[in-house]
Amino acid sequence: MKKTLAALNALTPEQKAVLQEKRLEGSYTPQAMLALLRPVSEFDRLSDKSRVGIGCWSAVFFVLAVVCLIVTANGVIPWLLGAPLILGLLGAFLFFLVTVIRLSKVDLSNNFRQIALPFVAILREDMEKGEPMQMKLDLTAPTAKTKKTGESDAYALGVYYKVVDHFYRDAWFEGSAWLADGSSVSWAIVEDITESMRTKRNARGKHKTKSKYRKICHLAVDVTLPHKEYSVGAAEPSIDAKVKVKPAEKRTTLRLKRKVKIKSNEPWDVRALIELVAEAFRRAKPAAPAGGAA
Amino acid sequence: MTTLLRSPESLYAAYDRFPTQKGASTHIARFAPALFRHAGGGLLYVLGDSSMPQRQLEENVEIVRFRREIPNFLERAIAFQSALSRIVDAARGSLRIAHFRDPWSGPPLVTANRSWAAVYEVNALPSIELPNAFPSVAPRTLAKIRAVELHCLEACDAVVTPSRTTASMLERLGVNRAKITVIPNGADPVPSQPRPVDAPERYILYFGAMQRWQGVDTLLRAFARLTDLDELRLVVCGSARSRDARRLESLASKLGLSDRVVWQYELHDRELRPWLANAELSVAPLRECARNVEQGCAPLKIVESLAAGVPVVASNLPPVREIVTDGIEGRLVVPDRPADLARAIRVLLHSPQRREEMSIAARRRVEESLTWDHALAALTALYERLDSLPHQRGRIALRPEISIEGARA
Amino acid sequence: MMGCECRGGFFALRDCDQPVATSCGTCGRGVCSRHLSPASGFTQCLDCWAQGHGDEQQKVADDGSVPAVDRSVADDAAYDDDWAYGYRHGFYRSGYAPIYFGSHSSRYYDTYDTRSFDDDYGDESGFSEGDGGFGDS
Repeated sequence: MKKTLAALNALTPEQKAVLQEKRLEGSYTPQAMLALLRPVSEFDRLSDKSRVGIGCWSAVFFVLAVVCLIVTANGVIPWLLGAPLILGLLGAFLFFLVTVIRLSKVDLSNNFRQIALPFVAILREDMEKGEPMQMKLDLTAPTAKTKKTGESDAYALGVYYKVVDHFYRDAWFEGSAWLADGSSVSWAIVEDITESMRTKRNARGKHKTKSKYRKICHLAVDVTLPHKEYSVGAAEPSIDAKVKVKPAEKRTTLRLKRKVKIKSNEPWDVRALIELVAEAFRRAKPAAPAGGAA
Repeated sequence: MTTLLRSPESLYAAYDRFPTQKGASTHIARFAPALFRHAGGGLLYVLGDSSMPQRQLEENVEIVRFRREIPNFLERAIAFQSALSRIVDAARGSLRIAHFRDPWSGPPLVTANRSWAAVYEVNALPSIELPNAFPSVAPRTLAKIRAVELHCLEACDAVVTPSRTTASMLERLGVNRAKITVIPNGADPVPSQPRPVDAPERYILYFGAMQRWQGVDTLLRAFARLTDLDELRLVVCGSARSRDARRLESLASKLGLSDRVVWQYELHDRELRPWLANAELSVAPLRECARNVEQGCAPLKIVESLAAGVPVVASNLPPVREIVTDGIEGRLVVPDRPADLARAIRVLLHSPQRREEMSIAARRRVEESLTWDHALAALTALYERLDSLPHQRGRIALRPEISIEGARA
Repeated sequence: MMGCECRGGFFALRDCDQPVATSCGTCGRGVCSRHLSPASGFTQCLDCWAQGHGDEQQKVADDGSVPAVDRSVADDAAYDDDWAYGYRHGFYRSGYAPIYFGSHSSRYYDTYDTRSFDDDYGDESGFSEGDGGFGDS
């Protein structure tokens, strides 16, 4: 927790603003963007790790405070000793509770750390130094209320007597960049998330509800290759993706789409997006020689 | 940094051992001096072994040999190239023209910031030929090698190739046609030679290397159909006693030809010439495979046979038709068919008059257009053209043409 | 003198050619300051460092689905140059062959390429012992 709070306090006002607003939109060089977001990412990682622990400690202090109250009320411990102890435990409980709420408020979608940042770091390698990329990043929770698109009627499924599916659409990442070879890459990611709230009665007759997630992630990439450098040919597909080729006078655009299915609300592997861009470059061949000297 | 004995005006680089008794070596021995004569001096960078000097200075020509013994072919080629890079750094100030034969030598000589003209002599492409020697070579690796070949082809100023078939293949790879000069292999006319003392009374000859694409096994099978010609022998002069040669010796034995085939290895040119000049026929039974048909080749053995006035029986393939016209200087037969080859040999052996006419036509064919003088004049003319042209150098794009699918680790 | 001999890029490669700061302790290439690996203590180029550490790649499942990222792997990633070159190494190893805009080739071939040539070739198959080239005669 100490590390997490230190990481939070070390953030610049601009970085704290990213945590508060959870949205980023504009033109950034990858270098500037990585410099801005790496500390945010590090804090988010520490926060994810420590929040569970802090929550547990908060519960422990609350239980101890209640136990202490009961023991003191029964006269086992004199009030003179019990009261400060209860107050101390309640104070600790409140401190941990506030901390965990505070950290939860600034928690970012893990998509940021595990997809957006590595993708920018990879694209940076192909860009001229100092060249900006356009980017729109929504790091609010994928199942935020604003992203809800509807819900199903209640139905039964196996042992679950009541299942309600909640549907969310999270268009969280899009952008475009010019590469050093004159190509351009643009991308857009939309995730359709289904949160399935399932309620059952357990052996002791208690009603238990749990959430199950599944999502379909729609990855779309446009790669535009200049004829000056590349010609576009056929290639055996190496991944399951739809590819459309749109030739134009000076450039050819390859439009690639791919679906990624996940049975959780965790981020998918950034490799899925990288492979989609690579699939376009697999079809590129060097442009025909412009002329010889002999 | 590498120190050179003199500042070279030109550089000829080849990932070939030099000198040896192989065709590549013959080529280098002809082309490199032409380059050095044109430039007024130069440096020859080749492979060598411990029996050869690492450094040699002969008047205005320095020879540098890469002699490190590295068992792995590719690792050796990479080390060869690194050493060449250092030589190029040392020669940068004086170098005006560079000539290279392979993608192992090419990259340091076609760098974007060079001030010399670069000529790529394409006799063959390793991306096509290597799988013959290394069947397990990964498609991914071949794709990389192909990418370097394309890079060299695009970045050089001129491409020289001995065969129109190879030129067509290069065009298909995207090389600008205007950049390619076809300079056929040459041979010098061979005067009559004394008969070797141990030569059979009557023999047909195969000489050269013995890779599978040379089709010597077809020749052995054809010869097995000629055993009724009691006095006839087959003389095979191999450029090395290799694994392939041992395989062929074993095949000859299985075919019952042990006492009818004479095997000779690593004959020096002056030893080979009498064997060639006194043969009834010379045979070039090239196989119909991608290496010969699509890539093309320029079999020196055919040109040298013609130069010695020896009729040739060869496979009817595009690169062979560039040298031999069927029925004029020899006979062209359907490749890979021992019966057809045997029949063509038998018919010619039974017709001394026809062989004599072919012999005269063969000599005439060489004298008219296939001497080394012809080849070197064309090469020198190319160097002169390059001298007068600014070298176009730009950013180079290259890309493996070979599919890399299936190469996933 | 040549500039930095490393190659930048991921989907397409290009020469770096920035001024050389030092040479890589492993491959000996001239390397600029950007292509020295901080993780190696600036003793190796990013490529050599990546070859030793770049195999932490996730695989796409046979059915085309992509597993969620193993957090223990992702958590260690700072997405700096060392990470990017390590990822690049792993990605190329899985079969991607990038277009290359440039001319340096000293580290163009890697151990996976040279392994193909480990077999004996002590014959005349165009590449006889000690003889690199083509026997075309």
